[in-house]
Amino acid sequence: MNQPVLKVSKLRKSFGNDLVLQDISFDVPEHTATVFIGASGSGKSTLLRCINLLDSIDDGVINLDGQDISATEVNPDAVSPDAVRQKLGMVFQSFNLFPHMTVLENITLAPIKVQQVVKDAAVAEAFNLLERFGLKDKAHQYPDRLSGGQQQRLAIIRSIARHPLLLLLDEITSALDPVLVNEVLSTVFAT
Amino acid sequence: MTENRGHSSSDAAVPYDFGGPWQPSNIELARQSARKKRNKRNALIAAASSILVIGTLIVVLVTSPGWISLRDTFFKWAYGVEVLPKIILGFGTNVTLTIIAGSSVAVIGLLIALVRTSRSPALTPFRFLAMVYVDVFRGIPMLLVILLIGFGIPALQLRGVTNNVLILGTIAVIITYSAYVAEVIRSGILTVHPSQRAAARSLGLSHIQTLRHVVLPQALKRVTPPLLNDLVALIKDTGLISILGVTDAVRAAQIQTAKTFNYTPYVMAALVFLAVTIPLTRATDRMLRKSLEKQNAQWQA
Repeated sequence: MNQPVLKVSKLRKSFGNDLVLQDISFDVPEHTATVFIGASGSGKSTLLRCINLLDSIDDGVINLDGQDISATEVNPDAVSPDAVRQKLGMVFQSFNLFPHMTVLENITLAPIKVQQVVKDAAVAEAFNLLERFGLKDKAHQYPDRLSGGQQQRLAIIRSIARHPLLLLLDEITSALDPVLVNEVLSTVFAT
Repeated sequence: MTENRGHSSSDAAVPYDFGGPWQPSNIELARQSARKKRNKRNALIAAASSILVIGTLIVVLVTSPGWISLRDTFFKWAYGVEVLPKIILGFGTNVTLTIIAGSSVAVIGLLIALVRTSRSPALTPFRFLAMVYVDVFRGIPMLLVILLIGFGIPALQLRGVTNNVLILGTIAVIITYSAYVAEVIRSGILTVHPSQRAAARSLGLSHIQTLRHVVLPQALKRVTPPLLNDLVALIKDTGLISILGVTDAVRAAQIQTAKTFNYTPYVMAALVFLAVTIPLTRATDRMLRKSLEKQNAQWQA
């Protein structure tokens, strides 16, 4: 059995007096999918935001790819939040696409600016993904022109274009019709 | 895996067969003709109301008892054309100052806005200074800033510091406007939703990259109309430097008026300002609308 990609133990998180997560422990082995099911407001999104270091945690340890990423604040030698996020892909429930960029620019921004991929290569890869998700003819449109499902697919493409070690998907199929749910999930599992 | 899901709009140009060419039904034809009739009536009403209002204004103006003397003192076009070159020459000063001050203000205002919205602990003293700066210079009338700097700095008799009132006046304008512009840009930065930052950071972009590629482009687009407001105000306010003795369009008009006691040069100066500010406003409005039309699906002008 390989070492798990993500190992969370005894995670605790509260907003003020509102305790959201308590004693959360789980492992995510390589090449597997882990699903969290819970009522609305039960802390699923917060858990993902904690893993992504967008929110700070109150207690517990988060271990990603063998590194304690919850120690970035106390240990100056630990990996930086930016380095951690480069290993993670996050798809938000409300997409959070960049409205001032075209579909293509949304996808290629991080590969070009963060991962220093040559622009032509990043664009070629983006078109590849757009074709697979049936959005090729929308490459030069702005996100607001897309339907909800198309925006959702774009958000997924944007995060997988960076080849993350682990994808954090926050209710990614909530805006899709049943046919597209199948399509999206099979693409997610293929990556 | 089942094939042929027919989900994609990229599959073909016409994904569905709508059943041949469209023949509008009778009810649709009736709707179209009713719409046409309504548009015609609206155009008529608009024209009639415009003629009535503008006509009344002209009649009231022309029949007023002082109209003849007003026309002779304010609208003596032959004299106006005669002094126009001098006013335009003075207006050159306004334009030059606007370009110099405008570009400096853009840079300084942006820097102050960035400092005020930053969270870095190292910048704490600068954040405080920026706040004091904005509070002070937004609160003092610009005329006072111009007077204080224009007459105060030379009075200090510092070695190596210019006594050129044109330069000192421009600095005063830059100081004041940077405070205004900084606040406009800061408000724009604050309107960009935190989820945009979260998305950018989760893509691995650094703080600076997030500002540069995600936050600022959206913020600046939103505050373009108020920034344009400030630019138009700047063009006019450069004229305030004339109290230090600089000859701008207003001062040139004043000199001509003092010679003949005819106020037409003032009207000419006003027209010269309008000749620049109106096209500028229209052009910027157009640019902004185009960019919003491209970005937003349901844009109503």
